[in-house]
Amino acid sequence: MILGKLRRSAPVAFALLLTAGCAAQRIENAGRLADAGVAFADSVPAVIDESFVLAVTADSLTIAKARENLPQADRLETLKASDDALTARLAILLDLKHHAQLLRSYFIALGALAKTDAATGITGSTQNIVAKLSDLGLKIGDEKIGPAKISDLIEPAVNFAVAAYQNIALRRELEERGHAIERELALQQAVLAALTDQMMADKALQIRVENRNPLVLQYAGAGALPSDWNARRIAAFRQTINLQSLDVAAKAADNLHQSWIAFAEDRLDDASFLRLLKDVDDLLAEAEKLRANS
Amino acid sequence: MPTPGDLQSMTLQQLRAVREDMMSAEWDLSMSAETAAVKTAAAKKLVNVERAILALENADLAAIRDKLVANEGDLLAGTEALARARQNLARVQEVLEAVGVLLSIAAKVAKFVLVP
Repeated sequence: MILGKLRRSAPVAFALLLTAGCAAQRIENAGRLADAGVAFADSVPAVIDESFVLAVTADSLTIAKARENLPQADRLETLKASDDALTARLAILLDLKHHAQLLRSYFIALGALAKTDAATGITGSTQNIVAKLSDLGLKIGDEKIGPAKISDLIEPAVNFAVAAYQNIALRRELEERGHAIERELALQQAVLAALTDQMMADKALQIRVENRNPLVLQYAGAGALPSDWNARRIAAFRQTINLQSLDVAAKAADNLHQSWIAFAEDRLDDASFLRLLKDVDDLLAEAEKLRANS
Repeated sequence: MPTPGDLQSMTLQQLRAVREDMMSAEWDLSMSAETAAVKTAAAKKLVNVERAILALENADLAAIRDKLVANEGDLLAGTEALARARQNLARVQEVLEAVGVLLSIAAKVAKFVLVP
């Protein structure tokens, strides 16, 4: 009879194990995605700050150049118009930084649920209860289910129950707000793509004015070229190539966005994670460089 | 057919390219023989190009910012929901600990009652 019961319950047990395996994978993915999300959100402010520095630099270079041939009567109005536009830019960028903090909080909450150590605490508390019941003469711990004692089943049962609860909570969150978070990450991608375009153009202008223009004027002018002309020319070209590193933020945002979609559709795999981690690591390194140079 | 967003993006790209050209040494050399009036007109155009660039960039960022702000409600609600789910697990442990304490008391009372 017992064997019959075990045989009948085997498919259910197998399905539970399979479900438990899938649930565990989703929970682990949620934890890893949360870590990447927090690292991404942490790096965004440094990129935003650098975008403003480059915007002011490019504007200063431009209006300083124009000033050489502007009537004096026009100069103050020119400076004021630039200042007004950059003040408006600063307000927008502050809003974007504040919003990045909200996104960070979301990923922290996601990580806290996915990586909770509640199972350890609940297991301990449950084992304590079984021990206390034993003191009262109710030796539940020694009772068996199949070949296993109840006291030995507490930990795996609690782990399963907690994982099932986590999975349900994550599923519910994806159903209610999966699209909103996907929209959020798409917008973050748009912000960083816009800032990257702006930073590249402003940095290219700075390189043009500070590095390339002197080279051109020296070459076109009379007299011998200075001995370091070639070295400075190489440096100017290298700086132009390094502009490409400015797009790490946009790449990381794009990858995070795609990873979220894959997570919601239960198809996030290790290869995708490695790519995401690499892009986020590159962004973190760039953000550290920017903070160090500020 | 390009969208308004595409057109804005193309316009911004072109303005940035014009700015870089007008800031180049090559441009300076080509303008060097021009009259003061021509140079002044060019300087004013450069200022207008820069103003247009800042205005378009600000408009672009503000539009995305506004959409992010519109999404904030969902973001905050999600953060709270996840935190509540995490807290529920913590409460389970609190309840179990309270039950454990209760059983300890019950055990002590039982011993007290059993002692003749």
